[in-house]
Amino acid sequence: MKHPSIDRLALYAGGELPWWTRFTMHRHVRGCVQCQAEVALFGDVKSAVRLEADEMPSGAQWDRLAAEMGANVRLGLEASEAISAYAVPVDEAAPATGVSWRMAALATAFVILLSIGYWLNAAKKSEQLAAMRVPDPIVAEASERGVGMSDGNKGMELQGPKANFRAAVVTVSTTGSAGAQYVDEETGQITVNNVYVE
Amino acid sequence: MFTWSKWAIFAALGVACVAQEAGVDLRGGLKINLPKDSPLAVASLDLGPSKGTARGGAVMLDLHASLRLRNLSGKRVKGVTLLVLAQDVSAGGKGSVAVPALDVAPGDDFPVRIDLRMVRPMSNGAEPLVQVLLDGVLFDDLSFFGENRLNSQRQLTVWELEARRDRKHFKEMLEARGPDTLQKEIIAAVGRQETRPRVDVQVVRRGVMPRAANAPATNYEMDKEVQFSFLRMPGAPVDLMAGAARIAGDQAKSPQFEIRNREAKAIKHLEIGLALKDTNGQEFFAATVPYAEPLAGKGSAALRDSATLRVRNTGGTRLVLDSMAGFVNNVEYADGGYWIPSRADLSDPRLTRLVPPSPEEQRLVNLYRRKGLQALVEELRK
Repeated sequence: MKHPSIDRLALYAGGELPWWTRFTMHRHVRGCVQCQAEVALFGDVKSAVRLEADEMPSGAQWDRLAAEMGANVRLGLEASEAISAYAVPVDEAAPATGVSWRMAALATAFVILLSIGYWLNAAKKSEQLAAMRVPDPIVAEASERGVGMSDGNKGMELQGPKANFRAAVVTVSTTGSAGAQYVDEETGQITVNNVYVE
Repeated sequence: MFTWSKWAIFAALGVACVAQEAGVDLRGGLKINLPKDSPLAVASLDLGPSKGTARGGAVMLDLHASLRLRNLSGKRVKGVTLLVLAQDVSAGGKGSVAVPALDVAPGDDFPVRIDLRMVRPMSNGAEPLVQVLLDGVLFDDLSFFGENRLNSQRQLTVWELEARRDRKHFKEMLEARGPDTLQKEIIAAVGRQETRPRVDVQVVRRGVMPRAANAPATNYEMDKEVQFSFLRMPGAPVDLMAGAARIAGDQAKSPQFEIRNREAKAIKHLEIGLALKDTNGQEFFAATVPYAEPLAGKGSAALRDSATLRVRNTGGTRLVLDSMAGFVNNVEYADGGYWIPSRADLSDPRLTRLVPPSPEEQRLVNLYRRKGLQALVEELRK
């Protein structure tokens, strides 16, 4: 089962997802014990933060703070009215200084130059990162359904026959192989599938 | 809100995806290479619902091959291993399909199924997508034929010795105590099968195990060194003296053991079974740790491994490992002889629960489940 990321679970717990995402998340979380636990954890944290925020610091003079805030708002309104009384009509204001076409061309050329520089640097950096990246280790896995190996891009899987998967025996070897032993329901024969990582 | 333009974009993307997928011709995609002097021949091959799909520069292959092999030798075939090679797949793309617990008379056929899924880069068409080679055949006199690239001889021989041990055990029980006692024993085996914890196991030989999709993002799990407990078998020729591994959450890393050969005979190869226990108390067989260096008679050695194992419950829920136990699974001597645990060695209740059933026991239990006690009795009296 693919689980949603922890960020999305946090947003879900806070009720901050769009309705469709919230709906799909809700469907997943309802059926997933692990995600329910994560969501519950976020809920606890949220409640704890709210409780802490609700507690007023002792000794705060709320009346004085409220009076100061009110005075500041009134001062702002009066200043705004005074400035508009002295405002010059638009038609009498100095003509707006336009950008000359030479200036615009220069600015455009500068932006293009910057973009090319950034692009070249980014391409080089991504090549360097790709060269530095350690290849993913090859994982061999044994499960009731089959044995497989993958390096993240390529892979192979040997699936079990039509079998009672409950009766399958799965194991791995520390030499890098994974195996599963099945009883084929059709033939009654035993089949043992293995994959080997070199 | 979805507008017509957005729907048009989705439709165009869908068409593009469909156009990217194209069927791949599977004729010549599977090649079965048996040596000229092979004691087995291909009687028939059916590719059934196999299909190959090209996606961009890659091929997705879903191969379901039903193969019938014929015993051309003069001896009875007891086991076969086929090597499945998928070129260009990660790390050589090597797999095997083995069929142990067989009893195929000369001239008779037997089926082998190969169900393979793989993703690999598109090839130039010169090479087959999958090659199947004969790695080994074991006969009733324990003689072997094959290239043995996968050490099939050892594994097929161990399976055959286990099969003989278990058939003898059930046959003796039937003759000495009758069908009712046999039935009780088989029902107990069914019960063990049904109650065994169901886990998926992953292994990385070297390096760091990639992060699991369900790993907790909120905490970092510290490694802790855990000492092995040992499940001793009275008849085992090797003593496990000490052992430890590092455990972190659902992972067990770098197991190491001190081993001592109790006998005067030199040992060529031995295999230690590894059982893991989680914090909920469920204990299960998960892995084998081989030691492939020569071990002199009465000699001691240290076994150090760099592999990392990860386990999870089947279905994906996470488990947290708590402790580990080890036991000697099988031994191959330098003189070509083998040691496997006797039924008496396995009579300890914890070992009975942990050691997986041999292929032959699994086959006999399945025969009882499908056809009943009478069929089992007839099979044992053959």
